[in-house]
Amino acid sequence: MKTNKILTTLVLCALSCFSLFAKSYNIRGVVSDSNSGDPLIGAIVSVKGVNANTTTNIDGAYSLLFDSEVVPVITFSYVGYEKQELRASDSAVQTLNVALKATVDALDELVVIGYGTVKKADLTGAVSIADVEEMKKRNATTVTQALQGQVPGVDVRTNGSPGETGKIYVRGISSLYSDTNPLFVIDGLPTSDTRDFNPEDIESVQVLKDGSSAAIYGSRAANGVIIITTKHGKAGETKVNVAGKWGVQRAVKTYKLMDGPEWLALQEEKYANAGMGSEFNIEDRSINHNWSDEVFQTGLFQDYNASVSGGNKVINYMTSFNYFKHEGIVKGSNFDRFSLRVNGGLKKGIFKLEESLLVSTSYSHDLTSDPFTGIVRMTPLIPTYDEEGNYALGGYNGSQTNGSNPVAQRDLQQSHNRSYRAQGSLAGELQILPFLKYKLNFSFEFNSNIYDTKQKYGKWYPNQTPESMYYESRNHSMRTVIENILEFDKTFYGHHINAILGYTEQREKNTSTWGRVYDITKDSSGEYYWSLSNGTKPSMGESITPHALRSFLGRLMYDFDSRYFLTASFRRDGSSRFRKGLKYGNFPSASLAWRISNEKFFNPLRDIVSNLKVKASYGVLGNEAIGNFKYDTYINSFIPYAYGKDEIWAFGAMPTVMADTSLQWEEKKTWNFGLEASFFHNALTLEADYFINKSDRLLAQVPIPGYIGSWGTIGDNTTTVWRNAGCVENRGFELSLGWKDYSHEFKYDVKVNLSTIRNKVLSLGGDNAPVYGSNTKTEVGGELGAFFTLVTDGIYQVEDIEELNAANPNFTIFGNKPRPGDQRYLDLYSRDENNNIVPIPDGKIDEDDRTFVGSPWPDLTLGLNFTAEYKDFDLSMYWTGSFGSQAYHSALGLLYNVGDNGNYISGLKGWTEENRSQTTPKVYYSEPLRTNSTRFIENVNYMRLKNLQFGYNLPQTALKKIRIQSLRVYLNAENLLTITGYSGLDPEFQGGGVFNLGVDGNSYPAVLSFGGGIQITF
Amino acid sequence: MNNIFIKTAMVGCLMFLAACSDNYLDISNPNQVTASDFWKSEEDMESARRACYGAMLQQGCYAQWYDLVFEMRADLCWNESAWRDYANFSKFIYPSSNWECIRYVWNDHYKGIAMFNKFLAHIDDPNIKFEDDDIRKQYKGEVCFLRALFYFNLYHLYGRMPLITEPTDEIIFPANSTAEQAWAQIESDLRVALEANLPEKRPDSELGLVTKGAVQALLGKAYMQQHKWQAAADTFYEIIRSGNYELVDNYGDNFDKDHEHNAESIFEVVFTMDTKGDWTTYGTVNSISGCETAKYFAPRDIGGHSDAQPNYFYLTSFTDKTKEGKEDPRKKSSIFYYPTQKLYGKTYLQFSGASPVINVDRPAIWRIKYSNGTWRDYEDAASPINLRIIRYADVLLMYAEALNNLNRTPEAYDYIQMVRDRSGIENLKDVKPSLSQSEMQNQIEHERIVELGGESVRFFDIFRWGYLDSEEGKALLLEHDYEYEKFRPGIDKFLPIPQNEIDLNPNFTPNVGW
Repeated sequence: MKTNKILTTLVLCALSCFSLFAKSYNIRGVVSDSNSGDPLIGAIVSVKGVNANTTTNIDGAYSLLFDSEVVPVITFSYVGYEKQELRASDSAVQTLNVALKATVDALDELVVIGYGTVKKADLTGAVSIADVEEMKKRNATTVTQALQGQVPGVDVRTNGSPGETGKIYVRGISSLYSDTNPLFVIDGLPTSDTRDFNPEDIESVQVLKDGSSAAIYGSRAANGVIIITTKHGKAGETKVNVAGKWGVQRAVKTYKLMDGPEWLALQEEKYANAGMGSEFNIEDRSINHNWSDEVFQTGLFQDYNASVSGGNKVINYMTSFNYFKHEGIVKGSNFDRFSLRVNGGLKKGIFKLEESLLVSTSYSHDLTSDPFTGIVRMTPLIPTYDEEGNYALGGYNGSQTNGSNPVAQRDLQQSHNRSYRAQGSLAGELQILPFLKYKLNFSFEFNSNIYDTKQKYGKWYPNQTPESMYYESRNHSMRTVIENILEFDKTFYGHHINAILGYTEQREKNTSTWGRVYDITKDSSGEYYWSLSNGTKPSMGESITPHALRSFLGRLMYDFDSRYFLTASFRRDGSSRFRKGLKYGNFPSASLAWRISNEKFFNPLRDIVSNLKVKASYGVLGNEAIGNFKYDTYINSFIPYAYGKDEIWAFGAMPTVMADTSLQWEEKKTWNFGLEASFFHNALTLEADYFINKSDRLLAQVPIPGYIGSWGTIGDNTTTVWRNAGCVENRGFELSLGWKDYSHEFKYDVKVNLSTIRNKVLSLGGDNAPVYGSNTKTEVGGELGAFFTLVTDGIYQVEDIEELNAANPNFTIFGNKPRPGDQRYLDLYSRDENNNIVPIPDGKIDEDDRTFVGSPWPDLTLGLNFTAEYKDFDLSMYWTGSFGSQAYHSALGLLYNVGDNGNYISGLKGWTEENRSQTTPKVYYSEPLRTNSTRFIENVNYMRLKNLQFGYNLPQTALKKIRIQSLRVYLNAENLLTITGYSGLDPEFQGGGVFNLGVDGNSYPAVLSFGGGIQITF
Repeated sequence: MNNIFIKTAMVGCLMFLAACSDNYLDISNPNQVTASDFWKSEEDMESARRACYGAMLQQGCYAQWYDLVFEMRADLCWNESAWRDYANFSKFIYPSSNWECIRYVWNDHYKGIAMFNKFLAHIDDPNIKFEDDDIRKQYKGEVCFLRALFYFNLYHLYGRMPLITEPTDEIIFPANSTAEQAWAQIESDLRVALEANLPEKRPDSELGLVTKGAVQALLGKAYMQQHKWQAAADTFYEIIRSGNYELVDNYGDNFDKDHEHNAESIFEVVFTMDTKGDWTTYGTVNSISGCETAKYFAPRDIGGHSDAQPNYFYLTSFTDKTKEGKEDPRKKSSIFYYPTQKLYGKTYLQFSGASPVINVDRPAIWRIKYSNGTWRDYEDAASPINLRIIRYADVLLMYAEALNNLNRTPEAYDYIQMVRDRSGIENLKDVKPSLSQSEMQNQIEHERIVELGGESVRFFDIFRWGYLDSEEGKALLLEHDYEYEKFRPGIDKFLPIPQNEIDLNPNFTPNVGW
């Protein structure tokens, strides 16, 4: 009996081994997250060796019915979780619950670098990854706005005006050219436009900050490279997402201007002080008009997104649609965008194809005037309309101003910009051998831009010649890029080698045609025919800007046993922007890293220190962003003169612009030393980088003396020439610290970014002549845009003047004897017999007394991200801050300009013998306001709550009934709170270019917005 | 193995195909001709010569600031523009030495000078073949005249501007010039121009181009400014003796659009109405063709700025009587003030602020010279009226002044009377016989105000007469014009050199008092 039993068992065993018969199984269970215990929806459950699989439902539950000859092994897999295999028991009906462990190791995340990807853990350069989820929480129109504060060392300055793309500085400013924006590479296409791009389409954003990572982009990488990859569908999951957000906006802060009575009192005082009391003749003193109300409004935005994505092992697809509409906080400014994206992929055998295509159109109604100047130049004693219903202009009601009526200007003059853009790429990949790949990537961007200005007959400022006008310009641009890349990738005995070799060509051409006509024909009802063929005095023009680049590139990445890493790259770029012989630039780089935590001796520490890596890199980057044909002098054939009895007007010709024929690539050498560490199973992360960037042969439009007579001018008729103008060094430290705790029901994640930067000008090229800006001076040894002006130490009181007269009766300020109530300045310098400025007072205040008084560069910038989840609720906030810089608040130059007529800042009280102000001088009509002093230079320190978001995920049980996978609603506020002592409208102002970085001429105030949205996944 | 080769070869081919065009990066500018293709032919030189004339149409030159700056700084008008910096400019108060026109006038004159220097550096190039070498010489003379004219203006504004006479491809750092150097340069250019066989009269097809008379007139004026009375008298006498010029019958014909290049005109800057361009479009296909000045002088109601208005002193200077005992007719051709007089289609009293009772301090009256109000009802930034830089009446009066300074006072009467006769004014010999030399000087000063007021001439006169150098001079000017209150004799005679220029050139020193 016993032997029988044994025998039977043996036979059964053998039978089962030889698959002699199958048994039916019914296995059920729930798949959940090991950490939170939440059910996992859509997890794949399959039986090993048997063609049976299913996915978990909304409760994470699954049920499998199958036959198996052996005791089955069940496999559980889910994206983002470690795969788990479990052997079932041999009972026919059983329950198998599984908790899957999330693959929390962010170090395995793939990072897109130039022409390839690499595991984050293996990075040797300074590459930052933006948190795309955080970016999407922002009420941002453009990618640049969304990037603000997400990445250490990346400073984004935008105002809130509709469709505004702002400025981005990666690790400070190392280029003197005003276009300091980094290079954007969207799906392999280098582009500068990000306005017509839907932030929702982003899969990942990487910022290449140092030379070794960016050098593979060689040219144009000097300002950093931002690589954006758009979303593609993923195999196995079909996703339908729908989202909408809405919000209202208003200015964070506007200047409070005087109302009627306050203004009248000040006007009387200043005319009386000037001895011109009789000149002040306001007829109707009862008017009290707040012009701000005519200009500002509540802004509105709405943003709708829908996308479908999915795929299988062979193909994948993603298509998305976006409509965005924004009405700005200034009346007459709005923007809307419609975009459609179709991304797809195919993989078959050794062949792989990826495609992305964006089609978008945007329309904006642009402001034709500066709203701020508009309201300051009008007085509260001028109404919008006069008695006859016409626009009241400056000069009305006895007001002696040339102010423009902003309502009239908005009604009479309108500008529109319509843009049509197609952007796409097609990348083919051939796996020639297991270790050898060939990639051919073709990308293009087509943009058509139609801009028009319609001006009706009428006046918005007093001495305007009324005339109707129509202007239209059409710009077509086409850019094509072709890249050939050969990639080698092999691991043997712990040695891993990845090498690429490439050749790329880029060509673009922009054609801009414009026309203008006056005296536009009107129909019988008074409507204008807005067309270039319905007017007089036609004029037109065209400009064509072709540009080509050709590059050879190569890179070798080597690592041994994931412990020692080496990357070396080389790129040779040729640009059409330089003359023959100077067209090519070489951009090498090298970097090293040591992942100490992978060493054997580190094992005992691994429970505390999960990752530790040190790295160092060096690289050379280039810049050619100077516009085309700057290296040669050209004939200006449009210098007209008429002569003869009939005064035949014709053009003469002459070379007029000085050019530096030796213009060549700007070069930036960068060193980066970094440390990456994470502790307690990656709960605490730390990244620190120290960098030195040295830009050489900087391309800049350098001011030159007017007597040279070159016609190359910028801004306020300052004569300039394009030159390789010197050398600027930026040294900085970046620290990023993160802490997350997901182990409790209350999960949270804190990230802090700190960066400091020190800027130093090493040379300004040629003769090293300093460059002056508005209250700034850039000189060798100093900082770019350092403040340099007269120092004021208050106001002359009566007794000060008495003292001064006793001590130095010949003291003058720009030739005038000071009076009580005048601004005081420090007498610091004089000129010696050799015409050199020496620090000896000379009893007169003049331009020689200017001195360095501050810096536009903050000592510290800060970003703080906090996200938390509790049950179905989530909260996130993002703070940004900056400390230790100064700004020239130039708007105050208008708001305090009592010498001229206009409106002024409320509360302005001039010095009088009774009100012995130490800050505001005595007010006189017609006295020029001297703005070049420290009077309007202020410290800028701030902390701002950029974004606060509170969300709620509807519970699964509720959603199940309506067949929705997830639904989240949220409330959002931007710029809710700003803590600062700075009196300007926005401490995050954009600045006026490289030499006037700290000049706040801001006219579009920062925007405070409240909104909410809904995100649904089906 | 074969397979691999094929694949690799395929890849190689693709890479090569993409790389094959050799001149991929050689893109030439489709918008403009490069300078190396220029300065080759007579056609190029002719084109460049026109461009040299065109330099006068810059904003900081004759298209806007010339007339304004010289009128503002003289004592015949007042300016209470709503643009206070501009009103203050007229009162010798500047927010900074970089201020708008101080810099624009400087920059734009030097842009012109750079063009003249380039032209003069190439004109004698033997590789450029001229059909007739006299033409080459004439071109050279014309551009030398223009350079002298520009330095003449610069000297009267800045005093110590650098003298640049060669084209430069790099930044140079010249020192300030002295008055002697400036005058030597101006005279030497004008002497070259004088020897260039320039036509005494231009045919119809060349009206507006520099003539021998224009060179002589400017040279004579340069001598006058230096008190080289004999040289001035000799030069002016040449012009008078030539018989090429005469006074036109109607005084007003010297400032309108219908009588340009008339018999009295010696040199004028040509403006037309061909384009809508303003100074922002200068040097583009829509380049400026008109002059912006008229807009600044015109009343606000019709698109003007009312920024520079004749003052009471100027208005009351017309004391002479015609032979019939009537008011000097030149007053009505110069100043808009008669209640029933019409301009821009409206009577004087229809303009806002106009009043039959003239305000002594700031009279609401307007300049008529160069106004378009006689033929249209508005002003805009493009007036077609040519600016007359030197006319025969000016030469006659300067000749009289030179004679008087040479102790030939009795001879001066005739030339003054020629000018008075045109307007029918009583004979000076009858009214004021046997004037002493200093009385005659006063008389000439008066004659120049009533004849040439509002034509940007007065500032050069008070400069020459030394009123800008002394307290006594200031006192007199202040009597005429309240805007001289802040004037510092000797210092405010010149504008400051723009601070930008001083900052960029270590060899510069600021003007005295700055």
